[in-house]
Amino acid sequence: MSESTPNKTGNIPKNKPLSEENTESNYELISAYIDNEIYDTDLNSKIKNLIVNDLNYHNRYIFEKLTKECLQSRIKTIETPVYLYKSIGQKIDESLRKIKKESSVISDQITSEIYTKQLHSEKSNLKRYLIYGGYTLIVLIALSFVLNNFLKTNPEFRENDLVSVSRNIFDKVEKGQITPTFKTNSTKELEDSMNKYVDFKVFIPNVKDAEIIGGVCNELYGVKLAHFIHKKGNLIIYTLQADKNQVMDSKENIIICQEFKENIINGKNWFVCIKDDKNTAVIWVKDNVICSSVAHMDNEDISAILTNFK
Amino acid sequence: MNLTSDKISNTSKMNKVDKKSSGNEIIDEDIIEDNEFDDESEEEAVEDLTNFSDAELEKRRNDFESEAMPHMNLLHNYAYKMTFNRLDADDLLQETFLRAFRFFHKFEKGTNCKAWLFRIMKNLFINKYRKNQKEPGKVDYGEIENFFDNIRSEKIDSSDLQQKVFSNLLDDDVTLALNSLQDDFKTVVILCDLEGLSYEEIADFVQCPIGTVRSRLHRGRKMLQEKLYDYAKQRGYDVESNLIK
Repeated sequence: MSESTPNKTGNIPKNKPLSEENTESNYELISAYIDNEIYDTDLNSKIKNLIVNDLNYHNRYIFEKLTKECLQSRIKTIETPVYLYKSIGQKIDESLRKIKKESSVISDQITSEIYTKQLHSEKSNLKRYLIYGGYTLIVLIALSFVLNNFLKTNPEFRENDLVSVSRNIFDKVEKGQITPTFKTNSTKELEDSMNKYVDFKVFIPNVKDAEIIGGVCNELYGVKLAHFIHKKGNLIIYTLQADKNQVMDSKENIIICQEFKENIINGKNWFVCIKDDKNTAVIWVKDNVICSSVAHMDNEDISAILTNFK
Repeated sequence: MNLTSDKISNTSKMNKVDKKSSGNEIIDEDIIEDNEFDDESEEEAVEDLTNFSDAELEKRRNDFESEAMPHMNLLHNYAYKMTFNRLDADDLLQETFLRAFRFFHKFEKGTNCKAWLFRIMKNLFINKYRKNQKEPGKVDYGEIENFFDNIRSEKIDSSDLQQKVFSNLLDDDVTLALNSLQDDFKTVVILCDLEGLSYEEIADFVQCPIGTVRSRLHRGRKMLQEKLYDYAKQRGYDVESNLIK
């Protein structure tokens, strides 16, 4: 609500001549004169003169002035009693107390609502988490199943895969972490030593272009293995050897991928494994043994060396 | 040229008032375009206050006390002169101030608090008390328009008129005469003649142009004169014979 006085154009404009006609609108000036509401001095003088000299203006002025005075003298002004002031003050205080009470009730309601909402929210969150957890578990189980199947068909990605094992051991041999237990330059001697520890007949190629330096036997994944090293210059060819039937039949122990199995079944006795940036691995088969030979040379070189018998 | 041609620039609402006043008296237009303080918005006002902190409510109470309470006497008198019943006036005053407190957040500080309170009271009066009261007989302004035509033949002597007409009137006659006016006229007469407010203040209270205030006042007084003249005649004073040859 603005205080702006609605339309001040109600004020009597200055320098406006009185109408010659004694119109009602001009008689209203008598009221304004009586109430000292004519601020224009000229107009004020004109009205005053009219009141003095014009019968109409005079009579109207007298009657109106007396009417106003009569009202003022006859209708008393009352004093607002103190009790009324107090009563109003008390009622205001009462309404404030009521508002404060309502406010705290609303506040409690809101708090309760918020609490309830929070509880519901937490419950629904928990439910959501359980559902998501369940889904995740299912996905993980499915993934592991898929992975398992994948690894079964691609055993080179499994750690008990023949080629993987051979590559790992080759790394360790290169680093010097594994050293031959049986050190000899004689393939015959080495075969005889190893045959005591394994459950198959060890075959060590006696080649012209590389020298046997030794070997070791152990058991991995429940399978007895023979490991031997040929050396040509600074390069070594490491060979892991196992019983062919045991590997071919194995599903849990030392394994080879299905493709390799099929190669062997089809009569292949020499084939290259998936290329590794670090080294080359080849699978070869001789009589009852299956081998994975690893070296830092091309597979043709490995083949040439290990098949060039003395 | 009409001195009061400034009336032409009044608002359309006021134009309606002026047009109507040429014939039969105006039906009260105050019921009520302004619904600012009606019951529907009271819930909203209460709703607002529940969001206030204790300190804010206390501050509001103090502000209200300093701004609004000083005008209580003026409003009480207005309430009394509108109702002419002490109990009704007290009730009207209390209701006005309670409502004003509830709606105090809508009052723009620095503006005319008196006028704001007055509007609340006026609306309350019209909505509650006026409906319950027997409506005063409408004064047909047309009947009194020519009132002075009958007494214009010679100059009225002020003291003579006072002595013969006004002094013999009873207080009740004057009260009845004032009560007989339509609310619009009664309001401006009370505020000007009894409360001593200026035209500008009255215009602010009733939210109409000053020209309309002047016009209503003039006509209100004229209607009072007619009534008082009638009462004087009823008392047996032959005013016309003294005034008209």
